[in-house]
Amino acid sequence: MIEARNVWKRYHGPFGGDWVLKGLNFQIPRGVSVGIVGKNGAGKSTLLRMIGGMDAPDKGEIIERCRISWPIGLGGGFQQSMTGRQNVKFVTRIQGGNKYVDQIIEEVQAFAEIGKAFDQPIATYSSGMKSRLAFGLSLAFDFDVYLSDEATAVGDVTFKKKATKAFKDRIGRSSLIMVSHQVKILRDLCQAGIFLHQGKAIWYDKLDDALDDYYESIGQKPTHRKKKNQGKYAHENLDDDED
Amino acid sequence: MSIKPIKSRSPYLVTWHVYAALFMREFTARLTQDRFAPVWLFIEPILHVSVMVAVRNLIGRTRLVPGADFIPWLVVGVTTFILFRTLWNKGMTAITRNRTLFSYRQVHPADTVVVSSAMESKLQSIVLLMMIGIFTALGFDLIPHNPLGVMEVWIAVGLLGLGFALCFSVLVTFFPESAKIVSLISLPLYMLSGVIIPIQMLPHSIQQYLLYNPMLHAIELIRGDFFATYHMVRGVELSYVYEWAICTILLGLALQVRYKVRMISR
Repeated sequence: MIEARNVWKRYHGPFGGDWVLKGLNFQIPRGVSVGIVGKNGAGKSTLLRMIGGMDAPDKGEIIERCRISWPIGLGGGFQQSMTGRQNVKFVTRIQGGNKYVDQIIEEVQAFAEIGKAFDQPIATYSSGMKSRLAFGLSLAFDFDVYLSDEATAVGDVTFKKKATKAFKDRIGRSSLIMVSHQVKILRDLCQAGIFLHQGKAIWYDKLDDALDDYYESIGQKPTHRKKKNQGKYAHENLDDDED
Repeated sequence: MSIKPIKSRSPYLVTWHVYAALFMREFTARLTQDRFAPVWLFIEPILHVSVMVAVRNLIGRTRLVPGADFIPWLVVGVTTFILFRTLWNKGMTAITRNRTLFSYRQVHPADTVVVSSAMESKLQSIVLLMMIGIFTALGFDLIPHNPLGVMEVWIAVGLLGLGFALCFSVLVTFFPESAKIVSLISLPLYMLSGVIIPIQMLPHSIQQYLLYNPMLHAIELIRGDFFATYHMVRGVELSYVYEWAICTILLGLALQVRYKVRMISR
């Protein structure tokens, strides 16, 4: 369970800054995947960083009673001169998985499918290879909650499918908190929604309601075709240019 | 398919895992930096000392040091000062260098400083042993007369370096420009610590002010432990070095706690 209690956050830039989040209150129950929607600059990524422990609220607190991942696909911690294998070992050790190093390496290798490059320095990787490795690394550990910040948008088409499938396999065991502008992916993976608007967070038990209000706030109609299936955000009703 | 997570680790175990992982990472990173890295790791400090000795021996005038041979005296001083300076300089930038690691919530900024200092002091200790070996083989008298005393001072210098690193790493993270000032003051400090100029030659009125500098104490004391007949500057005390070390470490840790969140989120 993750609970936000009166969370306030502002940016401490050289020119001061306005409040971005003004008193958020919500509870994310165990096992519920949540999509966070809102305009650019509404504080979605900031909220995700705070849930991930990479930032702290200025006021209020975030209470976490579960294991939360770092944002999926974040390859920031990779040391450029070390090989993929060495970097995977490093993260495994930090997470306390010393006994499972071999197992995790195998799994990451299978997921990332970067072949021989796994034993070459990260500096030689293309950005796609890097994100494959980072993605595989996040999924090799069993977290209760995974965080994702537009992460599924990386890689080519087959990899994208694989990533989405990997998430779907985990439903039931773990949940997901996701920031994305891609309705399809949100709709595929999340049940509930949080809509960030003017510094407040509004919780919706159904993601569709959050999307409705989000589209209303930006003054657009969601681009969906005439009703064919259960809901207007259903997969078949969405245009392909969504992503 | 994926592994079972370890249920929950005690905070001490987490810290230990992070230290171990960071240490191995830092070491591998240093060794794989470029093709020359494994050699350079040890050659660099040795070259530094050799150049200092050569320059000082060729152009220096005062070669008379009370109670010790000049070259071993210089080697001990330079090596000890380099330990302090490396710990300070490398530890100072550790947080900036490892910023990306803070996305893993187990890693705290202070950890990177501690690990960097631990690794550098290990490397420098190996360098000291190599120096003793090389210069003894060349026929100089560089076998410590009081090895335990040498270790005691060496550890004090290491802790002092760690304390400086902990304090200055916070400063450098928020004001990157201050790194330049630090390298600027490290040269005068080099002179004032009596590394290449014997402080005994200076008048007492100056000496009493120079004695505020803990590195002067440390360098004189370690020389006293190396050479049985060496006359140290009057008034040097080991406890003064340890007091400085403890104070800077505590101040540094306090700063690290105070600014932890701001350093992570930058």
